[in-house]
Amino acid sequence: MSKIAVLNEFSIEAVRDALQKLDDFKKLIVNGLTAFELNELEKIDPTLFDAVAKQIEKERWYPSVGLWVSDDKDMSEEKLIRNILYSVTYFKEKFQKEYRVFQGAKIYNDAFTQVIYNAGFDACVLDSETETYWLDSAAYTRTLVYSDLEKVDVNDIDDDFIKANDFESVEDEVMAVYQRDLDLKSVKQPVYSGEATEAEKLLEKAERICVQQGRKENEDIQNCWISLFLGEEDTAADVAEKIIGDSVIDEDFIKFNFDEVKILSVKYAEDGSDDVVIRIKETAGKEKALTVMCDALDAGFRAEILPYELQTFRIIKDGFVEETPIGE
Amino acid sequence: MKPYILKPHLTRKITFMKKDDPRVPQALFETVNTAPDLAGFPYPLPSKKSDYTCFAEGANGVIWYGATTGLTRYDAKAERAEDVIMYFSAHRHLDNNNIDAILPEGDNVWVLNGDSVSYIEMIMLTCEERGDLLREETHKYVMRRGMVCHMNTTEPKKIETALGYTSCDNDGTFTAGHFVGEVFRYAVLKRELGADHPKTIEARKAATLNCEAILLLAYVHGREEGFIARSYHVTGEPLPDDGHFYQRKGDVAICCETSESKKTGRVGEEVPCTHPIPDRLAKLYRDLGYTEDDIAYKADTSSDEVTCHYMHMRLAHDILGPDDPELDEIIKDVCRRTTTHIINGNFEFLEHSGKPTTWAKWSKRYFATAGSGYVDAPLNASEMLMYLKVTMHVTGESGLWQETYDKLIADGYADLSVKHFDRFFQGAIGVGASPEEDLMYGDNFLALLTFWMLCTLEKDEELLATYRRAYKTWSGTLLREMNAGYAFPMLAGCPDIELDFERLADWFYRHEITRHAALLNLERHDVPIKRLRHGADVQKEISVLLMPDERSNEKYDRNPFQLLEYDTSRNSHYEGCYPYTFAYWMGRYYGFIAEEA
Repeated sequence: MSKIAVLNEFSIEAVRDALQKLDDFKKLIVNGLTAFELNELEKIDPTLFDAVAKQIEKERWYPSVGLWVSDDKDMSEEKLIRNILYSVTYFKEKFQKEYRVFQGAKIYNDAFTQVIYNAGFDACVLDSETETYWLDSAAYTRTLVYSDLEKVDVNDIDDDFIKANDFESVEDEVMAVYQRDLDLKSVKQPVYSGEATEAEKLLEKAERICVQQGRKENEDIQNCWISLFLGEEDTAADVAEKIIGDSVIDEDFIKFNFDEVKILSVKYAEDGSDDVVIRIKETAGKEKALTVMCDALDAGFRAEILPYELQTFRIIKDGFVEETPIGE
Repeated sequence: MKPYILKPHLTRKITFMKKDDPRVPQALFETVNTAPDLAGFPYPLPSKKSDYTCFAEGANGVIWYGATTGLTRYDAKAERAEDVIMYFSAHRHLDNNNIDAILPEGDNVWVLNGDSVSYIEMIMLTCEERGDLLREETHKYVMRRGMVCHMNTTEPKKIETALGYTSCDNDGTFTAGHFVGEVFRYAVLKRELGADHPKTIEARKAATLNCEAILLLAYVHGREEGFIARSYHVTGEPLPDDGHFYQRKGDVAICCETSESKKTGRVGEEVPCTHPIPDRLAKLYRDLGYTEDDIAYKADTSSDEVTCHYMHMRLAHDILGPDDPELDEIIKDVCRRTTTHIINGNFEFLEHSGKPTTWAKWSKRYFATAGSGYVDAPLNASEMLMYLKVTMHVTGESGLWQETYDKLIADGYADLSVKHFDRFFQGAIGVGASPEEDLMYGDNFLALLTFWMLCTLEKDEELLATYRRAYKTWSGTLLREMNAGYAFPMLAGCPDIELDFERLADWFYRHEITRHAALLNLERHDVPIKRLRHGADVQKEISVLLMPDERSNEKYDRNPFQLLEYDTSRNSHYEGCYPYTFAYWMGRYYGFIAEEA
């Protein structure tokens, strides 16, 4: 069985050591570095970042794609979505790479499987798990949780060990499992929804106010979300409050025919276009035929939502609507 | 359970005419158009608000709105939410989507589109009446020699120009679907009106005709072994360049030249055809002046065909058999011969050459093949068990059938049946697709029939529980369509499932009285287009299940969410009525639904 060489320590020395080993041994493949860590590395040591980037491009270094920051295991749906979205987008934009294996913490929210599935991941390797199984969630979403990896710390292995073993990426090792005969148990994630913090609520309000008023503050807002991932609640709240000012939410801006639908987000699309994104979650555990009205955007549309399903809609030109799978 | 009571409901009836047709009222041309003020309109509208150019009030406060993108009917007082906003569009309801003028006439409306006029009637029908009208269209124009699939016309939107012949890849499959509606109709009418009532007599005759047409496919090839042909054509009907056809001539049938038969090197292959066709079945073509030498049958039969034949044989034996011993003997003969052929072929359906057909494999050898065999195994294993169960039921015999059934159970066939969703999901991801993009809609129908049969025939509690568990592994894909034809067999097999009868009632109410397959506008302002997970350009979908009268008329094995692009050939295409009658008469038979007294 191939070994999975992982960079566990995020330091200049550790990264340099891993890069040196990649240079010395053509069969070595290194796994590690989150979007946050790569982003920090680029700021601290651009030359070293470029060297890692080249290895990522050559598919000898596989980053750890999942959450932007993986410390908080209890988070709201929207924070989870943004956390993953910004990580996935980072790798797409910076490296033109789309990875299919989520790596990181298991989040205690029943939206977890839905979010990672809809973000394009087909499997995950979770820090805390020791079993391999199917993880099921609402709206028939499922992911493979894989735990049978022989991980070694790339900084701990010596030349003899590298010479004596084969190496594989987490990505390829896990996706190869889909070609095997599988007989796995399936586990349903219990219904649980993490609470948004006060700073998150302010940020969501700020985004909604921006749409109501036709103001685009995407960059500030994205930075606020990243501050939130890092636990800098006050920084995020201060910026959000400035954006909100004296404005209030217009409760009639978007109307539904059911109360048991929670609006998670109303915001401009992340790509800087004029498109507006509406994200909702069914909260009563019942399938519904919804109508959504938003006169201000000349939009009115129908939707079908399954129990506890998350749905994201993008209102495009002239009020036409797309349902999008990824957390826009 | 108490039956859900269906009520009479408004149904669309469309008449197309040229604008100079004398039936068109002059007032239609004299209307003065004013664009409606739709600010604050309380419901999503199918057209963009600025596309609406005219409106007029009809009977009972109903307002008709004309747009450059279709016609909207607004009934603020409608009892059912789905009826508040109705949408009419080209090419099934309108000649084109640009509305020049509208003139309400009671519940109905005249619509001017350039040189064309649509007269849209909203007629009150019971669900049974709707089914009868659909059936009448199918029997008059779509059925040929007892087989029902679809039919093309020489002129668009004119069913009276039906060609009278068609090419269908799975005649047995779709005729069996139609047969379900017919045979349950007969059973219900017999129960409610008595065997001698003229309607019952007509129903029995119609069901028997379909049954004979399906059984004929098991003899039409003349092969000694229990093979089943996909379809057959007679002299004068053009053979499509699709698959493998064998033209009968005396004691042999010769493989015709098609692209496929050239590819497989079977052109000119001679296959003996010495097994007699029962006279009762041969009448279907002999009465039209054809002989056996006029027949070209289609081979390379798939498991779709075989599965539908067994389902058909079970129902035919149960419902038609008791009063028709001659027919019942033919059913038993087909059942024995087909099952023997499959067992002798080591659970594969064999061509005369001894090679298996492409898609009829129920063997462990096939299940062990990576890819399709691994993914198909749960369904195909269950199909094989169903064939054996039906054979025992129909023939009343055990012996080899029971021994084989027991052996397959011991070999893990029943255990495999519950692995469908796991393997389907795994298979899709394994080939780089998303499961929702990789759905095989034809398999839905096969699973539906297979487990319906197994769950209503198996008496062993443990096996029955396994089959019910297996049936439920399909529930996500079956029940999301809100199609009564999927919901009712599932309910018959798994009485504990919960169904939304209100939505199923909408499904019945909102069928039109034609199966004209012309496409409708699905790129609506009120319906989101679904972007696929990996952004693959495989098939575009809409994200809402539209009512049957606002989406395309299809067979069961198609994706009801598919965003079909306009295709003129469909203006000249009519489908058979089984998607409605299968569900309606099954629902009545099992007591799931009833008509309001």
